[in-house]
Amino acid sequence: MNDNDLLDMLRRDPQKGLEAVVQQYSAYVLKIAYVRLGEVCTREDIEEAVSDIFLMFYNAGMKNSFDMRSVRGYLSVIAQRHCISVFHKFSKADKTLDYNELENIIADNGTDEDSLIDAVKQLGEPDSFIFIRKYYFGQKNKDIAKELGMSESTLNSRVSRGLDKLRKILKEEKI
Amino acid sequence: MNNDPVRLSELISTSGAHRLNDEFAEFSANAEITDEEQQRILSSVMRKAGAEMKETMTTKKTRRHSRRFVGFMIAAAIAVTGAAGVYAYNQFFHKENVEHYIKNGEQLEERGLAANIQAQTDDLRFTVDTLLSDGHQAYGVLTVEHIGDKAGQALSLRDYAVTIVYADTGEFITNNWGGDAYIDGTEKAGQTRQIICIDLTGVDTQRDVKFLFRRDEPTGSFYGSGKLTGQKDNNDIPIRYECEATASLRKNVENIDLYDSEGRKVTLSEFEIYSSEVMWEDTSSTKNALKLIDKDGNKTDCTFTDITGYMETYSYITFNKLVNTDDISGVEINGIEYLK
Repeated sequence: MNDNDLLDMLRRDPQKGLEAVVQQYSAYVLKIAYVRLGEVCTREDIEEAVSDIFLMFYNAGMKNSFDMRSVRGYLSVIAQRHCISVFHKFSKADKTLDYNELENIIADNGTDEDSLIDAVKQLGEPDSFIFIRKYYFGQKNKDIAKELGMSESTLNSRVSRGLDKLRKILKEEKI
Repeated sequence: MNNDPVRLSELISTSGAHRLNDEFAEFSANAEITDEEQQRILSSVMRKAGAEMKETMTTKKTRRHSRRFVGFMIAAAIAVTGAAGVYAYNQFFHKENVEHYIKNGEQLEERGLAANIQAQTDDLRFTVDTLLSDGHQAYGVLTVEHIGDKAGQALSLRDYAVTIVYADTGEFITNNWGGDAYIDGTEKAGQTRQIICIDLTGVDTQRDVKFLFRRDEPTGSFYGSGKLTGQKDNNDIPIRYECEATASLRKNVENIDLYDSEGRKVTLSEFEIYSSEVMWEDTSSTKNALKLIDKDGNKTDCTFTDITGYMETYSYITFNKLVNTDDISGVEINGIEYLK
């Protein structure tokens, strides 16, 4: 079932649609939550966060009649925001996540959402995948390297070169 | 231009996220979940959504939070909007501020009553931390804080103001701002907090509203800064604002009607006693003015312990903790009993 089918179902029968969304995306949302919360939460707390994320998605959809272009995209944003919030709640040693290199580049260039997405897309594959994994979902380099079947040193150099490229793209666009 | 670092999670919006679908899909390629995990999550979600679970509800889980969302239809109806700048978490951004006025922070979170509706200017961030509505009044907690270069700098409740209008037409509903009565020296540096209290008489709560925030600078007038909305308030003064957030005033807490021996009605909700008429005197100066009556007829004096505010003119008394209306059979106000 693709996102359009899911959205149709959600609009026709929200509860059935919600069930279908959970069936389809629970592995995905669990992965997002596990990457962000795995070090500070129990598995049970992570599952709780995942169910809260689906509930937020459902409530948001009920509010706007599921007027959204992508279930996956919508869930991704809600999941990230909620997981960061939960991270802050559970993290005892370090109450905040540091701003990462990409976020600092964005700040330096006053980048907006469209420009950032354009720039990430311009990186091409697999670098755009790496960047979203690392900087959006917060996945660790070694885990990204393992999942993408490359060495960690290769990944590190791709990240480094990608950051330079991204900085250049954003600067050019700013001009 | 705002050059403060911004979280990617905040920069990527729900409306723009679809453009990253390929990247998100790639990330999900190796995502795995066991049948049992999926079943637990599905059961939890559906239970929270107040939906009827057929098979999954009867399976074997006894989860730590399994009973947290009893009566969840209330929370499921809470407005959680994906509009820009407005989103909701289950965790408060300023829990200590919420609990300064409403002690049941955990309960509010569990019931999805953490609103976390935000809007900001270059140097001020406004957060409606929670917004409860019993259909008669909306009652919430607002935190305002300096950000950016001004982060941590002193902020007064008189430095800003809030106007509430209908989201669809901009039509004026009310102004709402704090007074120095809310300042008690326990605020965080660069931050203020206050109660928002909105009389819903004549307000169509089915329509979304906008909170229009503005600084009270530089003119010193409540209408002195920000953009014109094109609307005017009840005194024909143009409404200005600098940032806005959308919210819902739909009923999201329980209430019950109570009557005295002459048939006069008051409403007891989870956060207040309300009457549309002038029905009682200043309870703060009247001994034993307010008592809650439980199912067994026992009376608990709340006058000096559980009240955050009162209004004589159209009569409400707000509590500093949620009241379980199921456990209450009535109230006594200045010696007069109001019962179910």
